[in-house]
Amino acid sequence: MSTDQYTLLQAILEERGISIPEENVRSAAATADKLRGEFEKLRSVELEFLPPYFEPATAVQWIESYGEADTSDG
Amino acid sequence: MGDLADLGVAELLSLFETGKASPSEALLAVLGRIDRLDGEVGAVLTSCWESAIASAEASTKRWLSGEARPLEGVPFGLKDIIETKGIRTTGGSVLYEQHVPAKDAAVASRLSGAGGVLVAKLQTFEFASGANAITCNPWDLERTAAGSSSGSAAAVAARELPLTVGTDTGGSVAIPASFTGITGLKPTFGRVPRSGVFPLSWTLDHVGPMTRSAQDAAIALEVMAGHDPADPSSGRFRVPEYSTLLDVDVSGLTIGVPSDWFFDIINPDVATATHDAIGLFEQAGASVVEFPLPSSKLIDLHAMELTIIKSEAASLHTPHLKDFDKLGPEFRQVLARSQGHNAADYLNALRARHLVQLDFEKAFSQVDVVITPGAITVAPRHDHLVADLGEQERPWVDVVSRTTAIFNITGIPCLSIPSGFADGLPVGIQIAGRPYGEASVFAAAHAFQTMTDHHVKLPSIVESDSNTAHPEWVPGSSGRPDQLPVRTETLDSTW
Repeated sequence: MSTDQYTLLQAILEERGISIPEENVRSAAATADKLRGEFEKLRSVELEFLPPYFEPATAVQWIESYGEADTSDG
Repeated sequence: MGDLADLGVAELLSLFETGKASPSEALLAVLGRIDRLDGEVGAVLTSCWESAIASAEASTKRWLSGEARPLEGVPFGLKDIIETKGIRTTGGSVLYEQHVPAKDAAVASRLSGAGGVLVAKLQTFEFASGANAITCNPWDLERTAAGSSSGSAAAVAARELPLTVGTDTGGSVAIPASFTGITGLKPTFGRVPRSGVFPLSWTLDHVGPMTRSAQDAAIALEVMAGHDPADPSSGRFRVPEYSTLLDVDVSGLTIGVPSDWFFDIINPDVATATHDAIGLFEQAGASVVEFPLPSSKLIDLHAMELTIIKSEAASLHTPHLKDFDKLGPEFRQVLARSQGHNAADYLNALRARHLVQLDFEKAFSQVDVVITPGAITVAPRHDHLVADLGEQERPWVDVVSRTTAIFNITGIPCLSIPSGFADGLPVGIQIAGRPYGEASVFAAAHAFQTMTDHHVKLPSIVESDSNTAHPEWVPGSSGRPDQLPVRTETLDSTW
């Protein structure tokens, strides 16, 4: 278990005034710690700043367009 | 005929059509005005005069051959977060100082395709976020033009350009429009595509025209609006011919005035000017109805706006974190603060937007348009950037978008127009309408501008320039470089 993750969760809970049993906080921290590598991988996905960039509506638009992406950028 | 630089879009088109002036003559007039005044005003970041001269010559020929398009020969400028093919687009950031896009943004392409002549890329805050404008207010050069559409507003106010395009995420069209005494539209979310525009917040960003009158904004919106497949948020609704729908019988209008939020924190002179403007509509026969905004009692709308903008900006600007030290101090602060919002805060803010929309839906069941104050104060001084509220001052960044961001949150159209003066400085009102109700907004604003002359008044530097005879502008005669360096430091400021 990562002490950092545990401390972070405790700080967030305290800041938000939420009370959760100690064992649940430790368990949540352990899970987050186990998945840290996967989260880091997600963070490292390169999403472009300049158009065409992806926003949440882009995925919805893809569905509305019957699965065809519009790759033009204006 | 006076200086062509002093004329608006509709007036220029009329002169071109009747052969009383040509696009080439109009271009030389605005280039001369920019050359003489912009050294002090600082609206222009990159000049495109060479390509503009070629475009204006082509437009002149089109008018002669009867092939004129809707904006044929009208000079315009773009906020420098709007991409332009072959012309650098900096986003106001040193990170993009040499960024030359391969394609035009949708709005740039549409304006040029309608015959508009691109004259300049205009100053903005770094990535359209911040508080301190480099651009000076033409009404008082010691004061800010605000932003982030700083150059777009100041260029219109200084009569350097009749039409510019700005963007608005929390008031970036409305606030500088109020401060500089011009007309600025934040359209309905989705009315104008954002493709090719540097993003700040995909749920709150809007692109709109900035002009001298509602009529000119209506002409521009006809060209700028409409669906673009490259922008997933752009609406598919038909674009009305706004400029043919300007005449309205004011006596048949019902105007809504919010009794909550808008008048809680405001400079008393601005509040008075707003009530005077509403009173003028009443005198002309309009009915005025007050309505509440219960959501504003539940939610701090300013906090809601900041939560959404900062969260989305944090995501969008992740690629720039590696260059953190190269960013200007204001944008570094934006990115640092943006780390403090968690996912639930962000999603709750997005969900709560609908509560505010429902308040306006209820209001629009009984009113045609809503009128509110524009910016909450007159333009502050660069070296004392605070909101002057009469008996007290508040930190500028805490309250600056109080009357404006609500229209980004709701997504409804809102036109900022000049409504008078306080201490010799312009103040404005906002006229808002139902989603995609720009026609009603333009009509109400046009009626107001028919009854008043605030929008045609000139800053003294412009008046004095207009009254002086100048030799015709000679290409390449400007002492200023065509491309100014991007500056992310600020003028003297207390912020």
